[in-house]
This record gives sequence, C-alpha cells and structure tokens, in this order.
Amino acid sequence: MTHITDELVRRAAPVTDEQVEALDLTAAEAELSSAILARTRDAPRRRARVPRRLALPRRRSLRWSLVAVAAAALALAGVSLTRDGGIATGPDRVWAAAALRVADAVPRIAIDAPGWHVERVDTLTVEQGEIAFGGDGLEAELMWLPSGKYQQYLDSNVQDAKEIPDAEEIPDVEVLGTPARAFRSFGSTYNVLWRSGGYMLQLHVQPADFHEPLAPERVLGLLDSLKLVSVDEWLGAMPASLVRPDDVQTTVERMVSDMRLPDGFDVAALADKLSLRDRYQLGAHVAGAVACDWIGRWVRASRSGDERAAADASAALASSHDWSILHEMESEGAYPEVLWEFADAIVGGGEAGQVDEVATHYRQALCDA
Amino acid sequence: MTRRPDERLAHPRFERLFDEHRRAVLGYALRRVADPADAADVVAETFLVAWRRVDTMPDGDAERPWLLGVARRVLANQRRGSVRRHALSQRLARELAVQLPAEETSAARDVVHEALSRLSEQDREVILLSAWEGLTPAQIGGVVGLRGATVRSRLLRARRRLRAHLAALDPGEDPPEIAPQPPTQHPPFMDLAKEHAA
Repeated sequence: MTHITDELVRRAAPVTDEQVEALDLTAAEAELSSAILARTRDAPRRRARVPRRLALPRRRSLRWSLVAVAAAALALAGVSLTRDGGIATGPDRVWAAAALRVADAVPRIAIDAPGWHVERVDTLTVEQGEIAFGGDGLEAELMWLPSGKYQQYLDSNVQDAKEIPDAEEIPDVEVLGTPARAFRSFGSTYNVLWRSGGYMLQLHVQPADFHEPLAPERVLGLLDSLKLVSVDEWLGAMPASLVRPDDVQTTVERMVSDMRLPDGFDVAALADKLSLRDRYQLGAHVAGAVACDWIGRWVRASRSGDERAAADASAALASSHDWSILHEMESEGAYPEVLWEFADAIVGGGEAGQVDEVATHYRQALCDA
Repeated sequence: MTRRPDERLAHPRFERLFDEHRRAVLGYALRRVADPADAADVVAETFLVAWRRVDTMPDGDAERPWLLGVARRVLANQRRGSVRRHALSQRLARELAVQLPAEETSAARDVVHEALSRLSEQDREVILLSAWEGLTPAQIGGVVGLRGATVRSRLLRARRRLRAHLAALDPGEDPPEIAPQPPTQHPPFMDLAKEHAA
C-alpha cells in the first residue's frame, strides 16, 4: 500500500517517471553513451564481477563495439596455497628457465592464514601478474605492475574516494613494513596500494558476497598475514591448471585436434614459450588464433565476392560449437560466448553492413588472446 | 569457482546499464535541479563513473541504487560548485532545454515542496527516494549508505515530521488538498514544448 504521505510527495514531483520516459532523447543519449565508451577505463582492472546476466544488449543489431578491449585479461600469475593455509612446497622442479626467471623477478607474496587458497591464476610475466585468493568469506586479488603505474592507480582511487558513495581512505596502513594507501568504496570493497622494488602492488579485497559488509579491521588483519616466500615455495605452489612450459606444445596440439584448421595454419607458432598460461588462457589463445584466421578469411572473401571461400570459412566457424576446449572453458568465463557470438553472426549472415562490423571489431574482441 | 576476469564484458554490461537505467538517473536528477542542463551533467558524470567501475560495481537489484548513489554524490559536488559543465553532456543538455522549457507548479505542490524544504537533507532524501524513485528501504540504503532497517525507521520519522510541517503550513486541510495529477500523456511541460514548436 502506498503511504499517504509518500503519495502526496509523489504527486508533487516536478517531473514524473512517465514524463521522463516520454522525452525524445534517443539521439542525444546514444551520443553520450558512445562518448563515454570512447573514454579509456584508466582505473585499475580488477576481477569482473560475475554478471547475473551476460549483459549483452537487447538490441538485435550486432554491437561489436561492445566487445572491445580484447585479451587484456591475460597477464596474470599464480601461486597456490594449500587449503589449510600452509605454503605448499613443490616437490617437482620441472619448471623451465622462463618460469624461474619470472619467479625470481616478481614480488612473491602469499597469504599465510588458515583457510586461504588460490582461486584463480591466468598468465604470468615479469612485467605484471595477478593472483586471486579466496578464504574466510573474502576474495583478495594481488596484482603487480611496473612501479611507474603507481601514480595513475593512486589517482584513480583518490578520485573514487571523492566520487563514489561512501568511499573513503583508510589512514595509517602498512604492508610488509612498507607504507601503503588503502581505500574503501561501495562500503565493502578495498584497494590497498604500495610500492616494492620496481613494482607497484595492489591488493583488492571484497566479501565473497558483495552485499555483505566488510569492516576495515578484517582487511587490516589480512594485510598482517601477507608474507614473502622463496622462489621454491612460490613455484612449487603453482596450481595444476597452469600449463607447464614443457607441456605447452602437447597441450596445444590436443586443443586443435577437433578444430578444422585453415590451410597453412601454423600450430607450432601457438606454443608461446615465454610466458606461463593457465589452461583457460591457453585455450583462448589457441581457439582465438584459429577463429581469427577463419574470420579474416571470411571478411576478405565476402569483400571480394568469393562466395565459395566465404561459405567455407562460415562452415568452419559454425563448427566452433564442437570445439571441446571452448566447452571446457565455458563454465569459467565468457570467451567462448563471445567467440560463438561472432561465429553465429557470420553463419546467420544477411544483415547489411555486417562484414564491416565484424571486420572492425573481431580482432579486438577475440584475437591475440 | 569464480569466473575469469573478462574485459570483454565491460562494453556490453555498460550498454545494458545505460539502456536500463539512463532515464531513472535522468529522472532522479531532473527532480532535484532547477536547470535541466545540470541534470544532463549528472547523467554524464554518473555513467562515466559507472564505465570506469563497470567491472566492480554491484549487479542485479543493487545496480540502480548504486547508480543513484553516484548521482547523489555528483549532485552534491555540483551544488558545491565543484563540477564544471561536462563536455560529454552538451547535446543532452540542449535537447532537455528544448523539451523542458518551463516548470509548472500548483499551489498544493508549493505546500508540499515547502514542507519538504523544512526537513533535514537526510530525512528529505529518504522520503524522495521512496516517493519519487519508488525505491524500497533496502534500495534506499544502497543509495545513501544505510542499512535497510535504519532506513525504515528514518522513513517513519521523516514522514511524521513532514506531516507536522504540512499541518503547520496548511492548517485548514488534513491532509492538504492535492491538485489532480495531470494525465501522464500530456504533462504540462510537454504542452508548453508543443506551443513553442508551434
């Protein structure tokens, strides 16, 4: 029942929702949306929250501009703690020199507290990395980047503290004996930034259930449990999902075994020996390379009027629904969905301007993954 | 298991957010500013923040309260004069200026507005979020940073105080007479816009 006082107030609204809906602002709003999307998201990249819906637009027309910002999510790293919180010292030293070089260079930080474990790692390089930990009802992402990025990240957090509801800075924070800046936003998410060696580090902490409150004291306690670990401990704790350098070639060959490859496709070139990748990321790298080759052929054939070649590429892309690695990846992330969206659009065909839309956007969305 | 970070979701999520909530944010702003151009600024700034934070902002039912919470903060900055006119919103501001050239008020509305103006900012905001934005106490909590139970008690108190102000302003009526609501398909300002066009 509407409260009578609320009803009085409602009727006194200068503008009603119905009146706002009736305004003819479509063109101006589309211009505003495009202008905002053209702005770079200079804020720190953090874990994407799991959308309850995939969040694709309801409009039927292909909006490839939506799937921009391609495989930037691929430079992450890993260490694993055992479920009881101890550091799992690795019995095997099968790591290639590249892995040792990385481990020797990067900040090797673990959470030394009961119940914490690594939930996700992706790819590891000397330049940047990220480890997603979980435990105690919290999620914590540790990210490192070259220290030159520190000011940009700090500025972004300071700006958030001004703009976002209930955002604030937590004063007097230290991490591993180093002064740090800590910020709370949305009431329950925290960013802690500090510098160490040639790196800037950020720990992003939030409750596993985003809507739960999270008091600063728990975050400060988590910071106290961070510890530096040795190269052996760190590498030995790598999760099984990280593909060992020695296994990359074989793994890639297995991944492509049920894919129809374009003529002259170089499978061996897919085995990147310079970085460590999690199986999901390697799958995106491989499936993306094959799909992108086919899409490129489809675009060129469509533009030159070579219907046979276009149909051949289209059929190959239709078969992507049978690529087992994509189905394996499906429960973990959206890469397969994005790839299939392009494939289905090509197979469905028919919309005016579609070739140009695909040509403009597929590389950014799918390739070089 | 958590899903992978996926930058590819940023664009589609933002577009959906914009599609679903742009008019709610615009309405929120229009009801709180005198100059529609200021509302255009609020919309632009709010969705710019949303774009920057699209991968971390809450989802589902919490989306709109979060966006309105940002809009509320932007409005507060605007009132302090710390926000300059946003280049992003120029066209939207121009369109709004054409379509909302004037505001029509009635005597009863003036009484209610006067009573509202006598409330504290916090009391006024929870009432307006309930009556104008149609939010639940839990959602209002998401906008103003309070727990739902706290909002409920604050709403009760704010309504009580508002009724007292209304009674003091218009002692002859209890409750004060409210002018019939204009048909939504012909709101007063739209008629004015038509006259301008003619």
